[in-house]
Amino acid sequence: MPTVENWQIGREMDFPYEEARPERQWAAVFDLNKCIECQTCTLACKTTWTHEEGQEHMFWNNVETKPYGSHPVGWDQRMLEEMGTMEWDGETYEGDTMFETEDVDWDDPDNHPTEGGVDEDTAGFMPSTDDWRYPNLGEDETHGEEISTTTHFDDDTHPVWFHYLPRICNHCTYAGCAGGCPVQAIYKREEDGVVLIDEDACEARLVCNESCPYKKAQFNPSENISQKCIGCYPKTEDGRAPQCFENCLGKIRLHGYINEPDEADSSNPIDFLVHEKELALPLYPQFGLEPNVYYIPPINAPTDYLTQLFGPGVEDAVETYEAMRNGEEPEIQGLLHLIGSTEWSLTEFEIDGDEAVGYYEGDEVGRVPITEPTAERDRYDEDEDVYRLDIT
Amino acid sequence: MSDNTILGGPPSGTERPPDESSDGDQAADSVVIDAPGTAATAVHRNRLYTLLGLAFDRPDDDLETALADGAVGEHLLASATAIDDDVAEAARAVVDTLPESDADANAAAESLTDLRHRWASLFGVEEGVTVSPYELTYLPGPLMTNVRRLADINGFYEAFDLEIADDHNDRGDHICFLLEFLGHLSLREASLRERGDRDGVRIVVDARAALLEDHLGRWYWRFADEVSQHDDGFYASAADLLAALVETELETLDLDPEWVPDAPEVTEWNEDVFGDSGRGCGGCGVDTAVPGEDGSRPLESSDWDGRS
Repeated sequence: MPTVENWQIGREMDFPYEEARPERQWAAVFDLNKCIECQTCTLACKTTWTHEEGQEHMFWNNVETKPYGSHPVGWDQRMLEEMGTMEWDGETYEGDTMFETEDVDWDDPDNHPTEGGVDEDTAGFMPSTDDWRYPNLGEDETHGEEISTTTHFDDDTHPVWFHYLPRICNHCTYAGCAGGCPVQAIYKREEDGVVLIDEDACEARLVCNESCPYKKAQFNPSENISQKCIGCYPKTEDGRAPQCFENCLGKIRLHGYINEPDEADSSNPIDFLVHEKELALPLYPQFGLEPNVYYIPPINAPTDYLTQLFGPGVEDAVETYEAMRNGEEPEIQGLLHLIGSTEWSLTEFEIDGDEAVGYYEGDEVGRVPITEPTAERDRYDEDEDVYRLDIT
Repeated sequence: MSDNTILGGPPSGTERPPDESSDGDQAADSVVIDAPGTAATAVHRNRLYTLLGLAFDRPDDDLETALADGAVGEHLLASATAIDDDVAEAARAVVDTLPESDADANAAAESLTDLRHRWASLFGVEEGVTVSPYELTYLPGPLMTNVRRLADINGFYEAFDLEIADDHNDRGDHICFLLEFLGHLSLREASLRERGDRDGVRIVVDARAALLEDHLGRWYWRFADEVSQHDDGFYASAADLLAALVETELETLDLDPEWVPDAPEVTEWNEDVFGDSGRGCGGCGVDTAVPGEDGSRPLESSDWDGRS
């Protein structure tokens, strides 16, 4: 049985194909504490890649409000329901990944994706046409306690909360779309691990639409093929960050390349945030795809919800983020300021005095102060008898 | 490592190596690689495109200098004759409308002034752009979705390391830029042919064919028609020469561009997007029925605020 090592769930797992990693792996870090859901990323992508007939419903990049938003409707909730109990033992995932829920023996040739029926062999569901109709469903809807006129938030974790979740293709190491495709039309590029659908080979079997748990393989009825985010590889090949990164107003997005944990290089910004500081976490690692977009969890949301979303590392990540806010992690602080300060991908960074410096393959492409000058007001203003949220 | 992985290149690429790809593609490639012509015809073609670009530009010092050189008509004819009989005939009509080369200074200045007025009335923004020199105007569909075509054109310039000069404050789909670019490709072709650089020739001829197939070849005839409807002198004959040249090019390169619709009117940018409600209303989903029509309440002047 092909078993592969998935470091995000701390164990080996079943997968229809054997483990093979690209020369380097396209990766990203999104700082959810900075996202304001302006949807500039969504439009930057839409106007670049999906404005043709047949692509009306497509958002290769979307931003949804959690916990109530989802595009397509209920993508994650329905997936979680289908997969059942998901228990972690420390950093090891003890439940089934989406390739394991049906107890399929992937070594048996009868179960090979070429033989069809793979959509019944993995967890997943096919979104209906209606499910694509509401990209803004649940937008800004809060969860938690009722708000009264005297409610104010004194803790960093808010009693009433929501947060934004920008989503693109995760260019997964064990891509569900590629694992499910019965005609092997989906592949990972050896040079950067970007997952692509070969439009000439695609036979519109739609299995990828079902077997990608993130629902980022989407059917184009005009072209009669499925399409997906291409990681803006024409830009990244030149060292430029993808459209949704470059246009991000909140400067929440870092583009670069990730190594495996045992080859982590602390001067590599992605490795630094993911492996060394364990501040940035994968989205639904328990699905088992080893997704390569990593999220810095939003500290205003409760830990139990975030743990379901990002795995068992959330508590430590939030603690590290708090330490960074208290000035105890100048390297992280500098790097987070570097994010969005340049249109280039970052492959290396360093702290130079009181500045953080970013590099792309040896060339300096960004330089920012670690600490920006700020003014701070009291949270409670006695003169006006009001509480303030925006005190810095 | 086993082949049983999701890593690799496009499956269709490995299953169908280039030398076994469809015959149709191969045929198209070989036509382009062996595009007829010599370095000399490429130079003549360059001259025709360049002069046409000059002709449709706002008359300025460059045109004055060209006309002052009495040989411009002669050169035009020589180059047109080297390309094709129809092109030569169209060029003769252009030469007939040029100011006499032996005219005195006053007469020459007068004819240049006349040309400036004619240009303004045809293409000038000061008189409402009677005939649009921009490709996007002629394409079907709303402007909103046609910007991609503009990006495609600019991509051609960028691919050959060209950009619109700072003092030319105009859009990349202006016919003068397209003509100048085609002229530039022809000149490069001549130089590459002289050096025997087959790959180089293939690249510039491919680019010329692609620009004609995807862009100018789609709408040149509409542009020529529009000019002819509003002019019967120099510009009409220049437009005929443009049409004759592009037609010869399409035939030589075996191209079959998808023609733009034969619609006399330029469509509103958002027609077909918001339906009959027009540019200002309807897009936001607000009911466009006039308030008061259903008797719900009397009409107030504020009801019209913000309506177009």
